[in-house]
Amino acid sequence: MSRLAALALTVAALTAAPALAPAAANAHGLVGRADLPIPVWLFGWAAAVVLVVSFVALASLWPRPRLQTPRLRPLVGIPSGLDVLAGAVGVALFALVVYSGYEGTKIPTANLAPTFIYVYFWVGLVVLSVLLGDVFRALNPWLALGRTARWLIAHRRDAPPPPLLSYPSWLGRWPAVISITAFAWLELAYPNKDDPATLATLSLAYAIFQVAGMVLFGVERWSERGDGFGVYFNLYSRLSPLQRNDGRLCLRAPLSGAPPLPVMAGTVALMAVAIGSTSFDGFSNGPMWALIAPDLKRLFMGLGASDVQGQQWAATLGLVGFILLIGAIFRLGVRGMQTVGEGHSADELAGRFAHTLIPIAFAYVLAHYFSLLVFQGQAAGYLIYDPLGGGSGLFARPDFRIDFNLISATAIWYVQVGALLTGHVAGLTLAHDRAVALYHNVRAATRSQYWMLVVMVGFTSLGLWLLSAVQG
Amino acid sequence: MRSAQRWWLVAGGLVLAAVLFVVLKPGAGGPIAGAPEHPAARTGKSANSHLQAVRAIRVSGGQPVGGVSTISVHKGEPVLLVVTSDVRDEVHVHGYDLHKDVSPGGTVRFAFRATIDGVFEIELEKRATQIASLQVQP
Repeated sequence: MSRLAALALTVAALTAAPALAPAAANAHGLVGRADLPIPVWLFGWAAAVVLVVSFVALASLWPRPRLQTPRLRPLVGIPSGLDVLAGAVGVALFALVVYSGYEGTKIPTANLAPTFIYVYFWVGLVVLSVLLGDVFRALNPWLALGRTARWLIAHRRDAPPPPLLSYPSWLGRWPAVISITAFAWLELAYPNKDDPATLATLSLAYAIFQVAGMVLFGVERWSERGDGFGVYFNLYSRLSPLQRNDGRLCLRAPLSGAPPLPVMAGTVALMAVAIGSTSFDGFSNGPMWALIAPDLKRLFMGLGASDVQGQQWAATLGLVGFILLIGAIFRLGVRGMQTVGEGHSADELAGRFAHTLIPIAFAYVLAHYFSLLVFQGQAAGYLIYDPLGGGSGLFARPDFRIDFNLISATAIWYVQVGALLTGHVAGLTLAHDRAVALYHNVRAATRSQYWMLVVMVGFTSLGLWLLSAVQG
Repeated sequence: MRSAQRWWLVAGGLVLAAVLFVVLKPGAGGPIAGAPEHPAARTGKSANSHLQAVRAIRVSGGQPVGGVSTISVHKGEPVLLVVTSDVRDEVHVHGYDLHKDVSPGGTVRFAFRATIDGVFEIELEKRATQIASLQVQP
């Protein structure tokens, strides 16, 4: 593909979407509250800053790689008992969520399971990973169970059990891609996503899947590559200034954890799922989807689906569409980068630049789910007293209401715009650093980064547009 | 590029961003500052004004007539919602957490002040059908 054609296609992909008309906003989620769209003036300002920042970055970045090998400064030792304790906490929380799901009330907001899974686990752990490092690796209940089982067997037989199969390299992170896609589908397309008992069953099914993977391929190997949530939270933890190394907690330069991400099959797909699913969540709350969805639904109903099924398949189509769109934008940028020479294949470049999407994915999560975390996160105030709901808990349920004035709509806008702008700068920084490490020639590195700039501007503009009133 | 030059560029970028922010922010007389003004400010009346708009929602066959409408108000304004329904259900204004039972052919009224900004669902709770969307602008 010629460079001009690739550029034209990228620009077309970025500008084709925002061309439809307004309709009513459709708020959904656990609480029946949605964010106000970012006003047009703020959208314009943020878009202008994106462009200014990008050109400043192009003109001023360093000629030699700085982030490729993180330098670790040890802070404190981690007591060995802490792992056991954290694992036990993880297993106990998992058991409590499953138990609440089956035995508790059917009202989603009064039962611990939905809020725990969609708010504390899915969103809270992402934020926690970026702040504190890979905390999920310590809390991971499936990993804790696998390690315990391995330890018990090793204790009896004097040697840990060998894995039944060696993990094939083509499998890479694909099991994680499947798990995270399935979770995104559950959250965004499945009609019964709030039902506590369904969530409990799915949690158990996921645990069984993990145990099977660990038996087949070994506990640690599976956990690092195949455990969808383990892999997903580990990606975000690479942005953290904290890292665990050799039994010690260490400090590292922010972002320097991302470049060492091992290049592996399925990594780009995982990033596309992470960004694409969040994008579709934003889009499906917007006026444009409210306009398209009924037609899609009717299309599926014409094929014999019921009303609810029609909605489900429409959302499935939207979700898949957004994942493919994100993958395509990245792939087009990679094809463009390929044209600057030095003989790198498109697959190699895609793998080597996949980690630059981690900050973009985090920015999307924060921009879309920050208010959910702040508002629905307050539900802990009554859920810890009464995880099953309906007054069946150990303690009397206090009179507790979620304070929807804890932060203002204006503050949420600034957090959203701030997250996207910071993610943009971080993505550009990582891409630039990788380029100067990869290309022998500084000029080739710079030219390759025009393409990554287009990709990053595309993702950041898409993120802003999804949240803004420009849409309708 | 020398490091001093680099810092000047970054500083220049920051200044440009700050200028853009001030220019674009509504109320500062900027070129895109055409956002609608606060109605209370426009009419010169306080938020206690009795000129509050009555917002009517009609439910027929368990569905909102004319689709899910958007009720847009500014924070602090009084709101009067009138819901007429031909089915028995419970009308729930999310976020403000107001509930009222409605019987077939009946009408319920919600009079409240829009103290929380954001977008909130108004729904027939038992049917889990959204009948309107309350948008409270800051």
